[in-house]
Amino acid sequence: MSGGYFDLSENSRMAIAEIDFNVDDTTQSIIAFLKRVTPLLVTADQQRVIDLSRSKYLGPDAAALVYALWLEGRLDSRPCEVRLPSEPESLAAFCEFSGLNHRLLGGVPPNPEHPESETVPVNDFKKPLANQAYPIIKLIQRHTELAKDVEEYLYICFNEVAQNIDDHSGSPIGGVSCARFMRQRNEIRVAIVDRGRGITETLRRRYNIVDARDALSRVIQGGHTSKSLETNQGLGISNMALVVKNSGGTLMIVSDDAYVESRAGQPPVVQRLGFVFKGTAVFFRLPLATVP
Amino acid sequence: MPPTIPITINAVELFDPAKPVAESAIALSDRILKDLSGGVPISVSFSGVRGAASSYYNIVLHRIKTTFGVEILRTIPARIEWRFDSDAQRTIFDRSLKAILKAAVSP
Repeated sequence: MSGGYFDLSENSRMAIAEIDFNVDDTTQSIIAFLKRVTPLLVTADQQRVIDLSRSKYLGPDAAALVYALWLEGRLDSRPCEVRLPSEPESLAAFCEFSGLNHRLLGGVPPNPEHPESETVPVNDFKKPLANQAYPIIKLIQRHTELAKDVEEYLYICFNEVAQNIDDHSGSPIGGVSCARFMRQRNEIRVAIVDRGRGITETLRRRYNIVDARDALSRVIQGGHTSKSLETNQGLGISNMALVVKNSGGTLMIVSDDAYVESRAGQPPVVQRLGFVFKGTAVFFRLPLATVP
Repeated sequence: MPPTIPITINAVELFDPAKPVAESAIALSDRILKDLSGGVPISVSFSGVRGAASSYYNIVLHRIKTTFGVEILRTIPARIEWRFDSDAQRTIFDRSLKAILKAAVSP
């Protein structure tokens, strides 16, 4: 994960964040990715480039983040050029099936029904539908049997996050999602990213929040809500964390200057990020129960 | 006097997966409010409902509370019977119910 560069010199017309490492859905790789691209997002006049061409592996978490940043740049009329890798072959295929080629470079749309596709392409949504997670269900069912309870877990987790984005975030891009079925591990990985006001600012409307770690701790615990809507009860993230924990999955949430990580059977751990990520990014993995 | 047979409401019949979940929650609560007004107990089944996260139950419970008062949600024997498709569904519902009852005590 070492090496690479971030060129922000005054003489350079380009600000380049080079991602020359694998972003493989691990906490470390996600933080490293965010740390590399964050300075890029605050540059004023330079052409912004996220260069992924030297990475050898990208997962759905990276795909959702890249697409969210690209989408935000386009909305701000400050486009962000993204350079995608062309090798190894498996990564080139991922860029195809994840829709990154299509969305970012104008390539042909991916075919989600392709027998080799194990990815639900990046997608952005404003007003989430109750069946927003259906393409993920469909993907899993194309590859393996899906137990009814796991299907329920998946819907609950996805919809809790998507509804939070709609209710609270004010994200100009709405939410961006991507998912991948991991055959060998028999699990589904889901990423949902927004570029809104973040959990800290949202909760500060009603509570005296010390910092981003305090805010994340409260939403994981549950019962803390900004009451963006009268019906909000502050249960969304805590419900998701409970479901992920009970199903043996893992969860990572990044918001502002903090992240929380929850692994199967372990209590969630909240830590400082060391820099500010605008918005909220949620990554979760659910094991797919074996159907007898 | 024979026991009153509850009216059964199948939430799935009022749940449109292709719409935002709030719309289905409002449709269900409209139906619950209408039937509760008739004075007979009701039984609400969530069998077949997929994609109902906390916001769905929050809206349903909030609207019942607003119209009939919070006591109707804790009356025993209950005027509303809730039936679930899975433990996960029941857990999410119970957490919403608990939060609404708690908020009624200390808003």
